[in-house]
Amino acid sequence: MSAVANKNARVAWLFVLPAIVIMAAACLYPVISAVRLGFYEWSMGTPWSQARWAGLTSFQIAYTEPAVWSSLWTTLKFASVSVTAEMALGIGLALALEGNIRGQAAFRTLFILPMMVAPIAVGLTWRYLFDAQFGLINAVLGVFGVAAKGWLADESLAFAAIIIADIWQWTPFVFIMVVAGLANVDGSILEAARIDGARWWTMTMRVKLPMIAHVLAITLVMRLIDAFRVLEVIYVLTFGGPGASTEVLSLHIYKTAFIGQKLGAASAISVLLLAVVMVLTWLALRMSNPLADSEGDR
Amino acid sequence: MTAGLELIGVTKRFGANTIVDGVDLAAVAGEFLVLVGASGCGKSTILRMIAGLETVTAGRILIKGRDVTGARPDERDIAMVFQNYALYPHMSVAENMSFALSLTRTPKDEITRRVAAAARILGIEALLSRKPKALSGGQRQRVAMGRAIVREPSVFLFDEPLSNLDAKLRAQMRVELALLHKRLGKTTVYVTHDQVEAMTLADRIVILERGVIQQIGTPGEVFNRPRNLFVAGFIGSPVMNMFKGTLTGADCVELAGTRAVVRLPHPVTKRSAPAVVVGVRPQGLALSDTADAILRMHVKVAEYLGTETVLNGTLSGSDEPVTSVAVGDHGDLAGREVGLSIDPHHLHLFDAESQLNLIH
Ligand SMILES: Nc1ncnc2c1ncn2[C@@H]1O[C@H](COP(=O)(O)OP(=O)(O)O)[C@@H](O)[C@H]1O
Ligand SMILES: [Mg+2]
Repeated sequence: MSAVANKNARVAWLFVLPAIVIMAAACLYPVISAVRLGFYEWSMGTPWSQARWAGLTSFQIAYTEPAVWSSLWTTLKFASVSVTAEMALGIGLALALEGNIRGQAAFRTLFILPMMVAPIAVGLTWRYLFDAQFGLINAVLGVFGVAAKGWLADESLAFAAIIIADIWQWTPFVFIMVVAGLANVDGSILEAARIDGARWWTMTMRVKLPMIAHVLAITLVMRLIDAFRVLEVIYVLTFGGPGASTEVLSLHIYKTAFIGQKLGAASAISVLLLAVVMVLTWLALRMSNPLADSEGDR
Repeated sequence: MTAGLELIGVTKRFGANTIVDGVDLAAVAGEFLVLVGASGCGKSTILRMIAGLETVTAGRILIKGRDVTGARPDERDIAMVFQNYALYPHMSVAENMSFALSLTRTPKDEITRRVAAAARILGIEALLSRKPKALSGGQRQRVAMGRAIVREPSVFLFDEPLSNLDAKLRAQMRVELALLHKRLGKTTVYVTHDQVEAMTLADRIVILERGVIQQIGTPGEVFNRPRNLFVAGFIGSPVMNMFKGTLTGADCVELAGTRAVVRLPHPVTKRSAPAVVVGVRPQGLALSDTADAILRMHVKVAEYLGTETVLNGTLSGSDEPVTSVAVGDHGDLAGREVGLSIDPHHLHLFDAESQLNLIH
């Protein structure tokens, strides 16, 4: 590199440096303070100066407590089932509503509405829907002669309920991502495939979906990250119960911090959640990196 | 002789707009047909109807005598090369070329053999494992042709395949296309708006205007005997000069605004109103300072191109635009007035009303 170019590069860095510093601080500060909190014993509401250095104690307690690992297991089950269902349904709906179906604009708008509802409201809505006595779901089931179920009182039904609520809210996200991805696919490639003899199934599995692989990957990552951090809907719907059947990791962190008043332990568990999410993100990005050049020729 | 491809009264309407109107066309097996016309005249629509990507509103399409009007694209025994190549971005070159064969459950070793053979013809053997993204424009173009060749179709369809390439590569690929056609001998329909491609590649040229065929003929026929004013103006570069005139006798035309009287090589036999248009190719207007210089031109721009000079200006007297091509360097003529003689062999006469050629 020539001296002039070198100098220009340095000047350029100077210009973007403030932005980088602010970005880094805004991203890293909460992470660092959460991690730091894990090394202290501190009661909320007291001055930080009264915090006591506790070393790795919180981490030891947090990571040996069975409730942490069982809530992690619950989170894993929740995330894998709901995200798999959301991906399948979202992709299926996007493919079904592709093309010139009459009224598809209205359809699409209808489909993305759930995503715009605040999670707390989603939780409340579903809580009423699942209500054993007054809920719409039991009422509808009753019409078909199915006996009323205590949805939120039964361990596996409650687990199903939180998954149903999540699917209802987040399938639309997958749907619009896939619709946008498909809309970007060059139509003449699909025509070339028609001439090559690809029918619906081949077209979908060997042409369309592979061509939007990067969109699918980033959608999957975003849904997984969100599913691992899920809190509000479950907080309102079941508050982790019955028993600990729907107590996902973030709810466990919440309870540890604000009910158990163990901020150090809560922070220590947060680090575990952070690690899981980071590993997932890294895995998905390695499969197909949306930030690198996309494979498409456009 | 069986036609490789036949279109009978093919019509396409989008809503109330008739885009292609009653096209009748027959290509002898192995013939290279070129569809030319201005942008939006319906060339791609015709090609897409042949491919089965677009339904026909009326008419029939036959391939090797078989009616394929309602057949799926893959049942028509055709292959198409798209303007933007339309390669599958997630597949390697070899996978792109073998996709169609793999869908018809062609045996693996035959697929390999056919892909290798096509790659050898096109000189892309070294690229077989690459993804389209890692190819240059010219290489992608070859892969797109390879994908078509591998299928060994009865009819090749090309939609402006060279228009995304730079001028030099385009000229090179044009020659390769001609050689490829000679080698494979398959019926080909080639769409372009580039008349050089049309003239050099075609066995016959089909000239379209607003979805209607204006003329079908060999390059020589459409150049030397344009059926009407549209064809005369479309084929040939620079564009043919068109002067308004009046028939004053069976073989005499007086040009409007000038006192010039042009003598026709043959008397006009077709009946016509006196109002006519005289067409002269720029190559048929020669610089002259003798008595046969019946026109005078005020030269505004003289473009020296190496072997010839294109003179642009106006006719003295009528101020109509006129273009002449003179052999050699005449760059110094700009701003001057020169005499022009007309070569009767480059002369065309059109009825001003019907626009039809009155001589040929
Ligand atoms: N699917 C369509 N719906 C409506 N109009 C169309 C459609 N496809 C093409 N057209 C119209 O048909 C005309 C001819 O198009 P096209 O065959 O692509 O022209 P060309 O290839 O000669 O440039 C254009 O005016 C275009 O707008
Ligand atoms: Mg076109």
